[in-house]
Amino acid sequence: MNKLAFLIVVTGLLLAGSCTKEIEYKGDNEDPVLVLNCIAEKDSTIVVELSKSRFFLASNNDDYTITSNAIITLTNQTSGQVHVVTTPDANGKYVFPVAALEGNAYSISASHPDFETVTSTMVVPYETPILSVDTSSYSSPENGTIMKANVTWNDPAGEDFYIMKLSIINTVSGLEFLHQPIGSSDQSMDELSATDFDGESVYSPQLFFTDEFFDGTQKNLEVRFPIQWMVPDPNDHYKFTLYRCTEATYKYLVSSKKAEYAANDFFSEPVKVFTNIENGYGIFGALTGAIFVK
Amino acid sequence: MKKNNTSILLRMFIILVLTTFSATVYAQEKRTISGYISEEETGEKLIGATIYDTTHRLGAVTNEYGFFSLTVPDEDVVLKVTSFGLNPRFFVVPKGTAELNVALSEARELEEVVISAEDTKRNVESTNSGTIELQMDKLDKLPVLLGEKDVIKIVQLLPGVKSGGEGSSGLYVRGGGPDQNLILLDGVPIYNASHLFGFFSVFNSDALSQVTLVKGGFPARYGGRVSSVLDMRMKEGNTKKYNVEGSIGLIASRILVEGPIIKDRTAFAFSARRTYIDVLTLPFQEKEQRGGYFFYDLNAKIHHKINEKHHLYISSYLGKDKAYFKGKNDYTNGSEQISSRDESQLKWGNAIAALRWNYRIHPKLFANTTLTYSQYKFNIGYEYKETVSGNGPDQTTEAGFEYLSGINDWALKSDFTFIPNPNHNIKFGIGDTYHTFKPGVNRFNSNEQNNEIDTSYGSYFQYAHELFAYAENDQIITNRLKINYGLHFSVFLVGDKNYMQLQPRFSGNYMLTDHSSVKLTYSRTAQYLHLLSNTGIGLPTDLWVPATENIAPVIADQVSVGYNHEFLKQYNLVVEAYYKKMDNIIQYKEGAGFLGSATDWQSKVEAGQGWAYGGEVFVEKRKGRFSGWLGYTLSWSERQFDGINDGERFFYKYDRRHDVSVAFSYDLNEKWDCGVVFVYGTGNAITLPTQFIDIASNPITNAFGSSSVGMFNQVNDYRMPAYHRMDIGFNRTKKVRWGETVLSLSVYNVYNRKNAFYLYTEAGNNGTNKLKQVSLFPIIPSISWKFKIDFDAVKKNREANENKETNE
Repeated sequence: MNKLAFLIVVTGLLLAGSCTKEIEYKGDNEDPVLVLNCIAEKDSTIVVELSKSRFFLASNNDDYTITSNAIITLTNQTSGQVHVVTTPDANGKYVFPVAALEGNAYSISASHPDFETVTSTMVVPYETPILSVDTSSYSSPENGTIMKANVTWNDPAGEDFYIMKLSIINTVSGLEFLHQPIGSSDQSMDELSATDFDGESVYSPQLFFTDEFFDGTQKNLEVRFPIQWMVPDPNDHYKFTLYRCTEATYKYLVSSKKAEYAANDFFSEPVKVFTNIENGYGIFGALTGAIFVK
Repeated sequence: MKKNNTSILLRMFIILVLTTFSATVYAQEKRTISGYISEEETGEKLIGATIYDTTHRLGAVTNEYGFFSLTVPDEDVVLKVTSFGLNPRFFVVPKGTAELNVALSEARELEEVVISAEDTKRNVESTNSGTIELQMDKLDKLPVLLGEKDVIKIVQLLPGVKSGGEGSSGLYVRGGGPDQNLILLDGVPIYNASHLFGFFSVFNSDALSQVTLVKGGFPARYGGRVSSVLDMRMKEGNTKKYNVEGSIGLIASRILVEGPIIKDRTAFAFSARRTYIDVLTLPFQEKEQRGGYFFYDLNAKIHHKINEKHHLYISSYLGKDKAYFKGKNDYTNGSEQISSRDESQLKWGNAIAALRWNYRIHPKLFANTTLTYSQYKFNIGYEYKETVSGNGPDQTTEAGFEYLSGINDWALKSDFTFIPNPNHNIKFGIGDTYHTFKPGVNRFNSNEQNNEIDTSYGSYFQYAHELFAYAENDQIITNRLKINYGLHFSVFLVGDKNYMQLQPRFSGNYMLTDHSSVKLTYSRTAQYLHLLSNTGIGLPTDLWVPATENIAPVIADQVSVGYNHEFLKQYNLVVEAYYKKMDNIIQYKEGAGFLGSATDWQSKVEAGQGWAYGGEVFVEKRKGRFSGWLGYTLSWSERQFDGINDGERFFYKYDRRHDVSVAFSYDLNEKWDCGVVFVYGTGNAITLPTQFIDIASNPITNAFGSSSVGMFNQVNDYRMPAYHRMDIGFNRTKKVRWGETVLSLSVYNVYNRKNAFYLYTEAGNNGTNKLKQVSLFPIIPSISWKFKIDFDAVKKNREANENKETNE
């Protein structure tokens, strides 16, 4: 019997061994391209990260950041001002000495002798102030106390893209707990953030949604979030940030988040990460946040 | 739209009434001969047998229940009755005789090569286009994976049909998806036709009597799917004598028992198949940790002839797959005795049943009424139980998780065949299917120290009615022109939404010469069910979901043009070109999948369009010692969804530019025959991210730190290596005193081609990566032994021995 078992194991190993082999990649798209990443926040300095893409069979150990021979030109198309940066800072980032201004249009180009020049444009969105936040709470048998909040703002006419974040500020300790889990079952939610409160409630660090269903009207969004340590602290204050962002920024953030999840799930469909960089990859976008502390 | 549909239906009805009326008037000076054609040895009804009036050159073909009706001048006629592979018979039918029931006997090998003119005309004259009927007796001669005869694997060798991947039993017909095939077993739809994650189909070929594939030019009687119909009929049971057949293979064994309950009146057929991987591996497993996998199929059928006018059939199928793992652990911790048990299991299966009543209302009118039930269930579960004793009262902790999905159908339908004269063969019918969809429910329970949780979440059950009515006429216009036209009208009632579809069908055949013809078909088809699938390899996690208020039904329009030519008396050449457009097909959104099923499935899918076009060449030799076919397909299949691939068109993952298949068998002598299969196909289209980039720093997602993501230009823009392999098999048939045995030796993938099942990257030296492929099946030799007990032979032998003993 032992001999038989040995034979079966050896045969199994031989078969299993024959099951994988290295193959040659026969396709195009092997050459790296420039990757320009810049998501500017209103009234903040514009910072650009420049790197090159990594061919999937190339080494993971190499540094793909580009720190020399690059010329990055930023043009404020509204004011006509042009800024050129050729040297990165100590962190390898290209910092422009200007802040992103609400409603201003910008274009950018990055050139490097080894790559095709990349270009892109964007307009910094206007703020959409939060008018009010009403909170209440209820008990959940599995998750302790759950807070409900109704966040209200006026949505401007036209297609808009939003991201909402929550942090909790404790007035006694002075600490701000960032990236608090938050959920909403509103129909405007992207599936990345949609929460089914009747089923398995999965909260996200942020809510992604568009104004497809409430364009140009006053929106009252119901959100829910579990309380830390299961019991509300009377010294806690809830800080809601409503970001209005460019379409490209929204699509880039949503698609890159989904791509990260999909990479770890065999059953997921592949995700095409959005880019608005001509001749390269990455993002040139902006967002404007409005804060309301309750 | 509704008004328009009603108007068309009304016109169609008027045309049918006029046709029927004129035909009846015309028939007054004639007589109608009707009856059944069956096989002499088994009593099985023969489908597609021809009855030909040699005097007046009029003919008829038996329907799917072996019934025919032929209207001829009321005088003595000589009828020739033929069916493929059986000896033709001639009858002088005297004036006034209206009924004829014929039994045909099996042809001897030498007689097979004698081909009559009427036989050879059948394919080339028929209006059926894109229709292939498999010869069940020839299938046994072809080599298959692990010696498991599989009808789906043979269907995959036909032009226009592709498999999903290595070993897969999925069907992709003319650019369609695996859910777009109506797979019927005795008229009942089968939802998941796969065993062992798609490597074997659920159909036990021993239990089947006929298999027909329709991939274009759908007659109006078929509805509910947009790409193909695979119509399989189970054996009715031998009404003459008992028959036992069986086989023992490497991974499974099977048996078929059939015979008369009341001779020539009531017969049964029962077959079973089971794998024994679990049993074989049991001795090598530890008692505390046991796992296994098995599947089984049970088919049963009873046929009762009430009288010449009424026949009753009851048939059923039950099949199940189960993979399981059981663990137990008993130990002590101080004064406590701890005993834990856990069990994980994955099981799925189909159950169907059909009650069918055939009624010959009139020599020209035949009715079939069927009540059917079909169920598909998938279940994945985990249970854990721990008992702590020895320290006060026993403390028990229990926890369990279960995921359930499935679909249930109840259906009632009536089909009628009306043959007013030899120039018209009219079929019409109505039906209703009541669907219950269970598209994924999670159940979680926990019981720990009196703290009980029992909760369910996921998608809700959905209910729908699918009603249909159809009428078609197969009409001979002239000696050279024959057409089939009809309408299939269907209504789908789901929630508050009603979908209605009027689906015109047309196919025409024009004889260029006595041996060649051109065919033209058009069909519109509607499908109210969708299959949500991530992998396409026939995993049981695939979900059947209905069209809903948000997700519209799939509508497909297909045109095809073909040329048929018969040459050298035994060969048939078919060249066809097709174009198919599909609307409202669904696919998981980017990043969505089977997991994370807390939200409703509708939020995870995207509706879009599909295109499929190409050409097929099929050369077949059906008779003689050497038989088989060669198929070649050149095709394109594309998809477009607004939210996928930036809304641009992309190749479907089973887009296959070139596909070649060769399958033939050769009878070496009376004992030995061999079979060879060769397939070649362009590699599957996959999405391979080839450039990786770092995600931009931002105030939104920085909570998780920066990471990199893969970029690709187009969905499915990379091709896996081409697929090809050759299989060879030999069968040795031996007559023994009690019947017959067949020893089959086969080699799958004879030149050990390592075909890619999927690709992945693996870390190499110095941080580099390698592109690697996983192959499933290397060269695999197999052996199986089949037996057939002939009770007549046993009886004769016994009698001969007794006589011999008496004489001695």
